[in-house]
Amino acid sequence: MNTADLTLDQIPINTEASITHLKHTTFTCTLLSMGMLPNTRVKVLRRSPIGQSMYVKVGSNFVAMRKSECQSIIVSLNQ
Amino acid sequence: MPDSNQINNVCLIGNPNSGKSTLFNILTGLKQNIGNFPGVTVDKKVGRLSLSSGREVNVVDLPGIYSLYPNSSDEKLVVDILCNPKSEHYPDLVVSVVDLNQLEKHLLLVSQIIDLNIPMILVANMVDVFEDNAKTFDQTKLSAELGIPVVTISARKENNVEELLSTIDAWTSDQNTNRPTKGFYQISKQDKEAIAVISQFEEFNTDYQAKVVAHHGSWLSQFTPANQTGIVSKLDAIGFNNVKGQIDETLARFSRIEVLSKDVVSSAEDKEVSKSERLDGILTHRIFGPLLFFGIMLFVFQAIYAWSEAPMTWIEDAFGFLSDQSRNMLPEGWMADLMADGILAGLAGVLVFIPQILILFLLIGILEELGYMSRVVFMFDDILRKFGLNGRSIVALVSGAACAIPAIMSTRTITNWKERLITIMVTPFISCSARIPVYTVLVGFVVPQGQTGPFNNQGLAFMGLYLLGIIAALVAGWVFKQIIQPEGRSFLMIELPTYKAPRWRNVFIDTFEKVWTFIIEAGKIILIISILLWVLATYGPSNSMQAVEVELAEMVESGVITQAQFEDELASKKLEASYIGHIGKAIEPVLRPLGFDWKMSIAVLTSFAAREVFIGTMATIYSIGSTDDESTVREKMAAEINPITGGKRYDAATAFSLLLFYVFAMQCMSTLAVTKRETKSWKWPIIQFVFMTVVAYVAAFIGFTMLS
Repeated sequence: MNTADLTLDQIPINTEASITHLKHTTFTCTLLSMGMLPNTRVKVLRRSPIGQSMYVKVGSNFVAMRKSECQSIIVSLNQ
Repeated sequence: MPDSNQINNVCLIGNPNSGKSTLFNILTGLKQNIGNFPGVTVDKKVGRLSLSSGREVNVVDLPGIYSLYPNSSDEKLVVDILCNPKSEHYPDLVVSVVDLNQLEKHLLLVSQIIDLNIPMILVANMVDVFEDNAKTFDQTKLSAELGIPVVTISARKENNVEELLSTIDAWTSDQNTNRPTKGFYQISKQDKEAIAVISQFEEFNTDYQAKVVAHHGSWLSQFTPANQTGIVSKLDAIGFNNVKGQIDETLARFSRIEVLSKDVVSSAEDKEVSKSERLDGILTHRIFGPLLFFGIMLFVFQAIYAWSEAPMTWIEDAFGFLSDQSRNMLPEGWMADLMADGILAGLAGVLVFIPQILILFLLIGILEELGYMSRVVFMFDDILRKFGLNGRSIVALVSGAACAIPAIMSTRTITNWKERLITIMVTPFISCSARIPVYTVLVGFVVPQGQTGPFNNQGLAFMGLYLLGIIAALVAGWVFKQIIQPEGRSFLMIELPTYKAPRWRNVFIDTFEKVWTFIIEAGKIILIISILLWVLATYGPSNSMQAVEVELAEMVESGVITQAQFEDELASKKLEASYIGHIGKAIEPVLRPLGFDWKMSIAVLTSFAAREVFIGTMATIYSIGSTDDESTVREKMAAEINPITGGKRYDAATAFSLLLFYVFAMQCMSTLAVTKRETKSWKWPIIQFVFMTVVAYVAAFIGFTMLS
């Protein structure tokens, strides 16, 4: 894993990206079962009022996640 | 295999938002029983279902889960049941509910249950939405690929439920049917090593069951603590990687599911998705979102007060009538008094709050069904976390404005124990329905009638009291956050389902359940305390009660008071001479620094049944007889002179001090009982009682000192 890995919390709002892979954590299975599968299209639609939570569109689902949870999702920007 | 005399367990299992509970409500209606699974505070919903053959089955609604590798305690419960065929809740038949529009995601769990080899039926729900989007579904192919029967239904529209019923019915006559004809997941080499280890501890139906048990060996209830430790150390010894094993399996399953679901359903963007996305542009906007939420809450509470006024009067009148009737029917004496002043008064004290509680839960239920509450959780999670709470605490905090009892029970959705505990501890600070009558009586003594700009001054004071409660809850949450040890990781990860019209059956059944909980939980304790208080207020040491009566009778004879005054004076003097009067006087020195006299001390004591008992007690003390009309009580209190200062007894300082006391004090035995049950220890209700009372005392003392 190199330091250039882009995580979901780092991409700008409303920017299309794809999930590359997930870092292994105790909640990875939950993320997977919520549709955060590799190669899925993902986009941060907005942040919460004080900015620590993200409203994310994954495929055609919406999921709210904390910044810390987004940090385990590695993405690449879609061209 | 269950023996034929036993009623079969049919368990509904599915992802959150799969429509599982809607289906459960259709199958069982109001014939459901809500209890607790033993040892855990997870709602257990069971209902009886009569099939057309005349046979009956138990339908169990298990908590929603995403997979057999869970994070939260209610998800773990489902896994605990599915891993243990000896469990009394172990399903004889699984009805696995999926949202057809989310088939790929929801098939993960289905595929795992298939590998447990339990008889099952797959219910593909929400076919109505699916067809609206002009998508096609190859039901036969899915059934053939998975090796289990598939039924498509729409729980919302109640379409095709009969087919599901007849499939269940057919199974009851031959329980070997519907068992998955093939497995789904290919056990890996690493899995096999783990299975070999776990098989030393127990025998398993399938390899996959053994694998799941190996992953959860450290906490599954079927093992003794010694075996739990043994399993972990033996698995560690072979280098078993728990997390990796789960992730590898999940990815392997999804790679098969992806192909399968593309084969059986055509893909098209759900129209609802783009609609919800646009709506949320406003509803969860960083600025408008929270503003809108506060606007909605303002409307909700306005509605509660406007709509509940009339029914509350009806309930009070009905009990007034019943109380008169019982006095007429029963011979005069302690029985009639106990009935009218003890039992009926206690019941009235519980039932009068039903309109407010019902309206609040109805409105919250609608917001939840619409899908709005999960957005609120998203908007406030990070703010609330600073105060030791969680986004999901918002439901409890809002509900707490009606009654802390169902509010505390709603914290079961908070998966992190520390955050749940803090929510339970601080929710009673939110001003509940029972405080309103007390505020109504007292606020006028502090704030005179008048306008400030467009606002009514007393209305503003009311809002101030609510705000004080909210601030107290947040500050207390922050303090607890610093003290309580964290336990486990806290998650947000919440699905935001597309907005949908409310399913009214769900709303009504949910509201009914919550109101019923309130009646039972609050009712039994308030009733007991009301009777106890009645005894303490009716009887006194030795002959003091008769002495009062003789004294007053003499006053009537000598013409000092009229016969009419006699009755009211008697009640008042008797209360003073009773046990509770003595207790009131005994604690007066403790409460004197707050400006309370013995009369207020009695009222503070009797408020432990429920805070609004304050009014009834004041009515008795001020000899107003049977009426406990708030304005009459107010007039009497306003006329009272303080014998020491010569000024008004209820001056601004005293009334303010009383108000502050009622905002903060823990004066509700029912809430303490629920806290005890939900935290499973006496420690937390005791801490809750002590710290809230200390806060109340200090606040009232400061308030009184400042104004006097």
